[in-house]
Amino acid sequence: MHLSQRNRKVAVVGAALAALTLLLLVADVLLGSEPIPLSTAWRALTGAESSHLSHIILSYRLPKAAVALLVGVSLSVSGLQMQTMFRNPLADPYILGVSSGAGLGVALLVMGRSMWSATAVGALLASMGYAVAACAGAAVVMLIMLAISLRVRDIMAVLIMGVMIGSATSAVIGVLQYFSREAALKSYVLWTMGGLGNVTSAQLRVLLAVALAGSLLALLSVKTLNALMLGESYARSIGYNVKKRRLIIMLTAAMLTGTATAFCGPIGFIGVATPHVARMIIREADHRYLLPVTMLMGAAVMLLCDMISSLPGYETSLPINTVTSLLGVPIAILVIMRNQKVV
Amino acid sequence: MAHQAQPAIALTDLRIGYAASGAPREIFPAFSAAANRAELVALLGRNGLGKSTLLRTVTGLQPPLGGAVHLLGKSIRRYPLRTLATLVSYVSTDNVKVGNLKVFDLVSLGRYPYTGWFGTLSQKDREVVVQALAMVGMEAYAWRDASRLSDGERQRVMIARALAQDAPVMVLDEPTAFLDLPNRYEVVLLLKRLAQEQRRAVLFSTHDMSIALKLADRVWVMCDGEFYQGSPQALMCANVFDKVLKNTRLTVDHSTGDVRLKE
Repeated sequence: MHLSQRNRKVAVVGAALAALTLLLLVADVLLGSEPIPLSTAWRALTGAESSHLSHIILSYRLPKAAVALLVGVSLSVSGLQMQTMFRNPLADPYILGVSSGAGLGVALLVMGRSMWSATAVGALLASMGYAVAACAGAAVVMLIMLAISLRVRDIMAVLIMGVMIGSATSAVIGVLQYFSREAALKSYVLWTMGGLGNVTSAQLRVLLAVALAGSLLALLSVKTLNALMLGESYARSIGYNVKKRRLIIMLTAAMLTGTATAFCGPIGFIGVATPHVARMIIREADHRYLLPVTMLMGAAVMLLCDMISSLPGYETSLPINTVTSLLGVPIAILVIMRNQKVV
Repeated sequence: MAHQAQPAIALTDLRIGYAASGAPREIFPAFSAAANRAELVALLGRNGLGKSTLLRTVTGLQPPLGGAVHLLGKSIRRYPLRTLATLVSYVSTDNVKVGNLKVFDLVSLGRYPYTGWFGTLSQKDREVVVQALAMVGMEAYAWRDASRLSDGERQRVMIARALAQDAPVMVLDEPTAFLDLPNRYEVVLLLKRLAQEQRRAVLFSTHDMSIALKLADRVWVMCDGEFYQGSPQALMCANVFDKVLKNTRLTVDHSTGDVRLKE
């Protein structure tokens, strides 16, 4: 009886969120420094109109909105996976330094290349794209944080370690910046500014493929995520090979974070905030409910952030990371205040 | 059933400890012990002697340094992880709190060895979960948030989760810790009932010596590098509990099993 009731409740929330996401997607395309009427947008999409406005829609607004949606999904899924794996309500790719790891990967690629071009590392880096370098960097930090969290039980201590790992990677990047040539430095600094609008159509395809693959892997691992809610011993006692499955989930999260970070720069607090907003709305911990709702929530929130960052009437747009931080930090603080004892 | 004649748990020359970085650290000398189905077995011993390590070794959560653990007549090494999960269930000392997790969902985790890829419960799985909740007297709490239960309520729910696993052997690490006195008795009485009515072997560690002596069918004692096992009465006659309490200001009353201050 209750099961069908909650299925219905979550389905209603999911449908409402999907509708909201669609609405935000349309609004994100239409609104901007130059608002575009819906009818014009429709004609541009169907190819009935080719004008200055339809060019803006097809080659700028629509790809940017698609990037926002995909990045929102990627970071939210990654955040939820990390919260469950670390059994830490504040785990998130940004807070635990995984985004910094992705940044270090890109820094080594962009600035390290000139220094080590003759070495094997240099050759390896040169052959890698931003996405691969960022994913590798993210995965390295993820594995370090996993090793730490297995030894340090206190969740706040793990968070502090994450901040320290993030600082350490920033320091390494600082050293790289100091020694790198001006051109390389400039392209790295441009990358750190990030943004959702600088993604090429080839990159958008990679982002789409990774977001789809990562979400699918996450959906296939809902049972493992549920089993891990009570911790490693319990997961093992109900028949789970924890080490193997945890590695798969960690690498999925690193891949999602790495790719999103590679193309859009570090984006904070989406990963920590959206799973909690999803929990507040559906009041469920079961990942079969929580994961799909978190994905939709991530898409909606990121579209909203993109709209806020490029408010109508302003020529320039705010850096996306400032908007996500301003929205996400209060939620993170709320979680700390409320969940002092509840993991 | 074929393995009913076998002890549910048989430990042979078991050496427990940690194989940390090459040099194994044995924390208790080798010993042997056994427990049968339908028996409530209390594991007693002072802190730091390795009671938790022993329980984790019995459940297969960590490998023994030597010797063997047999469950229902077969070495646990020869059971695949998932089969093992249908033979032995475990309740740890962890005070697990997951926000928004429904009691029903928490207990359902015990059905995971039986469910498919997404963990979808069959009609039978749901019935087992409801029965497990009813068995511990928590059926009215099925749709409550498990993180908001009292300590006693949560311990019952964790026991229900282990029950839902439907394993003939149940292992509990200090299930009476954090509980007030009436709840300690209630939990051990519940374990006794589960052992008798469902013919499970229930092994639990505890510091409540007098509760264990009154209710357990068999007692395992770890003390000064020696392992003792037997009925509470037999171990009482052998003065085992006096050894456990030596150098303390406590003594155990041999006729009632009560622990009291020495005069």
